[in-house]
Amino acid sequence: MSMPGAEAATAPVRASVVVVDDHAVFRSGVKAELAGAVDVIGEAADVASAVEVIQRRPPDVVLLDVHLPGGGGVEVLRQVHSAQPEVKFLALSVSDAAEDVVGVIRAGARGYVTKTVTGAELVEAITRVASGDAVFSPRLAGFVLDAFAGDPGAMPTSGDPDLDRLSPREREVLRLIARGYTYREVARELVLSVKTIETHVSNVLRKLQLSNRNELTRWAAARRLV
Amino acid sequence: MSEPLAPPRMRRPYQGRVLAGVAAGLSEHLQVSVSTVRVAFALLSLLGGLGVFLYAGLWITTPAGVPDPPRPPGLEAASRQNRRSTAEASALGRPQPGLLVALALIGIGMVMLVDRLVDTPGGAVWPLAVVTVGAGIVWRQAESREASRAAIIARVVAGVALVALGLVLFLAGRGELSELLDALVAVLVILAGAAIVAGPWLVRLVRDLQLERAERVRSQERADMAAHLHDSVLQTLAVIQRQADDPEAVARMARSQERDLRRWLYDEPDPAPNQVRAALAAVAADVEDAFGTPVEVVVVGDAELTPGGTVEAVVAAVREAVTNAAKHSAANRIDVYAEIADATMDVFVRDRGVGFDLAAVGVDRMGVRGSIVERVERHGGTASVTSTPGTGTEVHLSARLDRP
Repeated sequence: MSMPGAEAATAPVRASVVVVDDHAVFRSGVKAELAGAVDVIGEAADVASAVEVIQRRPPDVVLLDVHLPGGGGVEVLRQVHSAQPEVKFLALSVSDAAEDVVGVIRAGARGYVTKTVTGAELVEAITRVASGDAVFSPRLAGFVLDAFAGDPGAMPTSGDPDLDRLSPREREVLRLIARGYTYREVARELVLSVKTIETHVSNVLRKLQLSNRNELTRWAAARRLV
Repeated sequence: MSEPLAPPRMRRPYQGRVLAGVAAGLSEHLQVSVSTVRVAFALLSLLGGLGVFLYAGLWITTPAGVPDPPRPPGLEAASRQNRRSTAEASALGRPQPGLLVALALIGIGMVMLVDRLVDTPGGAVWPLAVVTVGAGIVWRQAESREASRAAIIARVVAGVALVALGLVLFLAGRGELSELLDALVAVLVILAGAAIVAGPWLVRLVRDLQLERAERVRSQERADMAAHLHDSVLQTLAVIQRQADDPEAVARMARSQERDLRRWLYDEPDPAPNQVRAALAAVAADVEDAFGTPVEVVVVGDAELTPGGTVEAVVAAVREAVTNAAKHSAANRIDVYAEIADATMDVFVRDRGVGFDLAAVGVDRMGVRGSIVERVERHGGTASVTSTPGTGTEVHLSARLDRP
């Protein structure tokens, strides 16, 4: 999985991280990879313990497995996200299924990577999420383009019609990300600053989380979402 | 585990049956032609309806279906997941309407014949025929394996109504209709009493049956899982151990196994094979296996591959482009992005490899011209290659779709 956000990354402070995954082998592997780059201050293997660990000592970023005993990663987001919006979530999964990806994003995660990312890519994704930006993999960009495909249609269902469509610029940015471009490469291609690209991606993330767009709902339902 | 060899039992097959499969089953059991059996039943029916009773008796006592010979769990699992072709048709053999009409006419004719020939008390033949038809409908319904709830209810109600109608006709013919009402009340009282006594027990019986069925499905799924793991993962682990000193081969196998498991666990069970999505996934899988370079495919929209059509040409060109990238770029990943709109298809193949100077090397040397550019241009599309030494190469294929 490529990390378009990957080249950013001069972190002023080391991010504190909680690793939530029910596979102990994976947790220890991630901890080893992250050692030296971020501070892993806690770990958990299921929803209940994850909520407890996060509430006891809120980290900058939670690495959240999508499939988790006790209701899945979405359940952790549900219990923690609204009470502690300052804690950022980066979702991790072995599955690329649309319902997993869009499900956790809509529940509040600020990014999504598959478990096959390299250690360096993961560190940079964490840094990016910690600084408030969104992390879109090519696959997530593809999902979003798919979900927001075509004309928004005659029936926008949100109060704010801007939520229901992507701007041409946002579409352009997502297309480049889907083609495997990093944020920096996207910026160079469109002759924009990296900061502007980050803003566009964050806006797309917001739309993905808030839109009730007719097509989005139908698209998600077709993939057994919602 | 293997069961002792049981004597052959008669079964009523789903295939080749006209009514309930009794004649077909009997013919198979006795090794005589099915027509002979049917004629025999028809002739016997003339002897005061003996054939009909015989048929009904065998219908009740003979189990339906074809006995399944035990199979290895892997094959069993594959069959259940619909990954193998199975000889046994799942649908109840549907008799043709003409056949049913003929059967009905023969039945009516026979009833009239018996009515004429045999001296039955009080015209009992017609009511009896109605009862028989009604019972037939209900019995046949009882073993139908797939029908909507509404259809089941409709058939059972129709069958019961016919049986009741036959009984009423019979009693009315004998002038005993008023006594019927008394008898009916008595029967209802007895039924109600039985329901009160046996109700809870029956409910529990049904619930136990459902639980047992669910448990069986679960254990079958577990068996499927075990079979799959044994098939693929253990094999891969065995090979990986043998080639542990070749990191490239190990990585390739791990990747291939990961792809396989991912598909098995999370993908739609039956992706349409002739769609762009599936075709590009196959391209990625082939290149990964051949060169060991991971290929990430992202597809937006979808379209069908028609033999000799534009989409197929583009997919073939993508295969060439991805293969080129894997062979020459030395990149550690190749990104494929396909976007299919109503009338256009765009595919980007990108690597972050060594790249090359287009002016210096010439497109021809990379085998790009014939296999990629011309292939797409023949179908009215365009192909462009951008490459910079040191940063990688991107191939952009674009075509108009020739779909209605």
